[in-house]
Amino acid sequence: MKASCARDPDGDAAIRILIVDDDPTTCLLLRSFLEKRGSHVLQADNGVDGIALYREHAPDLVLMDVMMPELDGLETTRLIRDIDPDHASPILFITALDDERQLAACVAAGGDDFLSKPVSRIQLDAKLDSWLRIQDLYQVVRRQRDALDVLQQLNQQDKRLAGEVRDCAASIQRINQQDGLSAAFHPADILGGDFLVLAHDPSGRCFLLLGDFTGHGMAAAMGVVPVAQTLERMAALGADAEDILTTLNRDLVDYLPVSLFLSMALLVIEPGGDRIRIWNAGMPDLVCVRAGDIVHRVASGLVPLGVQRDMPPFAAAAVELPIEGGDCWVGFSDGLLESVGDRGEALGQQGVEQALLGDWLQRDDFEDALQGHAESSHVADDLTIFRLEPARLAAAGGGAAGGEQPLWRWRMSLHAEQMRNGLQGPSIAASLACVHPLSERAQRELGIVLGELLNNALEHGVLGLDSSLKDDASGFSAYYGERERRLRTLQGGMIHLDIRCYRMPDTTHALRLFVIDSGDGFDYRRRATQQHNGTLAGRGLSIVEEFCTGLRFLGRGNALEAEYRLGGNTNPIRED
Amino acid sequence: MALETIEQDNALVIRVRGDFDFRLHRSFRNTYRDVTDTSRFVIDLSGTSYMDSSALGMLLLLREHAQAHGAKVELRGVAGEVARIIRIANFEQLFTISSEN
Repeated sequence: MKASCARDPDGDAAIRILIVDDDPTTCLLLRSFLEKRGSHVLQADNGVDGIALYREHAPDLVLMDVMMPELDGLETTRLIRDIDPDHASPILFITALDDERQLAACVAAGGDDFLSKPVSRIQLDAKLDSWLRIQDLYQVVRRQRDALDVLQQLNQQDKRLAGEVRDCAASIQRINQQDGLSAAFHPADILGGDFLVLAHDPSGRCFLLLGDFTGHGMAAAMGVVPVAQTLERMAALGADAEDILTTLNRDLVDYLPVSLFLSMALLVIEPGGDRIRIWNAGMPDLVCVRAGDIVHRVASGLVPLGVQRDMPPFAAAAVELPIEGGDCWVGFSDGLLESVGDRGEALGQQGVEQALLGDWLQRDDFEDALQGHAESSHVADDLTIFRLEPARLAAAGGGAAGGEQPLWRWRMSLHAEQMRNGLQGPSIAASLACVHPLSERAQRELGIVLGELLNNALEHGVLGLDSSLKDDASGFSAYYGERERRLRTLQGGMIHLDIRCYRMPDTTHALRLFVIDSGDGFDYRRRATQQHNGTLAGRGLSIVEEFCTGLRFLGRGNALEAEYRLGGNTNPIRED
Repeated sequence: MALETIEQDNALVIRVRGDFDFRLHRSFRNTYRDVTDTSRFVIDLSGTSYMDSSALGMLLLLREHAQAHGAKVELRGVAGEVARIIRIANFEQLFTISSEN
């Protein structure tokens, strides 16, 4: 089919026009008019041949006689429209009919216009010009529609994929499997910028983060995965809520464009389940319902995360409250405020609170009911709501969702006093050998790795020594002199060593080593991997990397994780 | 942990027994800082049970001292984990290394 949309004013070059007419005189006349215009003419003297030519040549326009023996013009037109339901080529009837009902029947059969017999050249030219122009426009629209269809399909496919990734990181199903926690989530688009993540730390502390990225759709959903992962990993390492918030805020400031930020509420249930700490940065008021009344409201007291690098101290912004047995905390994104209640008005905070106290909170099918509410109220924004019973969630046991349990775990916290006594990798490895049978070689290697990790935490973390000091002989002495001096006068400071042993699928064992120090950390994303041949510093971690896999910095750069693999045979053997 | 020095065939042999870590940095330096007339320094690591990254730094300082006085440094008795640590640092490019005692 001709694709050009600009009509040549000098003629119909390459325009194909099909004439279907059994009257040779009319055909001859039409053909001569058309050839003068420069059109390419196809001709059939009956409906059957006309359909065949249409099928073969896909003409740009058809001139159709009404009265023909066997297959008349109306029936031929119907059959052509069956072949070509898109109505691609205009069909003009050449007719002597003046019965209006007959003319209407021509249109009903799929015709577009009429030319009355006898055909005048002026009328034919005018109608052809007009219909070919419409035809061009139609082609353009059709091409654009097809292109849009393809784009739309690709876009939906991308969003569905991104949605799957997002749901892996922050799954509402997983939330709803938790005792004492239920939630509903309704994205405005396939992808949503709202999310809810639950994490546990090793001591049984629970973190529940309700987040709402600016806007909705793809852009809003981009940040969900890194935020969920950072929360889970830092919690697993035993990081403080304040540290987690500082890290999240810094990451978001660094990575998000200015127009994108994260409103969020973080609820932290302390181990034992008797206290809750809450940070609200840009979310609607969180409410606590006790015995049918709202007993606490926690309003937003912080700017959303990802807006400013220097936030006021998070510790001071926490709201800390005791937890009682039947307490029920509810948090929701602003999509719920915009959703419509029974009287057809946006609910607003007051409406939401009334609905919560009225019926919502009592319902056993809370998540289904709220999901239904979200879907029926056609909100233009993502909508998320959770109902948390902290006492029940805490009783269900922190760590239930924290992934695999280690076979054993060995923890040590060192204060200044113990650091002064010396950090002996080999003696710690010897103690581990009392817990888990280690080959002599594994014990020696672990001694080396632990020595490096602990000295790294002490020298660069707790003591804040700069290893570039060691670049020459006098600096080397000065470095160790300074190490001694700072260690002697050290007052505070902590190093936590946390070793967890996991059984691997192939029945071997892996030790995950975590070393966390109280130092300021550093911006590890800017740490370039470099060769250290020439300088006297920076070799410690290369040694760790030689014996371990998966060495990585965590938190604000004050925590290191490394994995040491033990062989399958854990009987003491010589492997030199 | 102990350091032992022997003069042998116009070489200063320094034996490091036990742990070779930062605690030795001063005494290790004292073994060679006044030795300027030898053609070779030999560090015997056959009795070294543990070595950390600061020991690598100490070896580089010794190399600097030796070069300043036209002497060579040889690492001897390099085996097991000690060999691995020395290899990670690419020290075979900087020192003569042998596994013999």
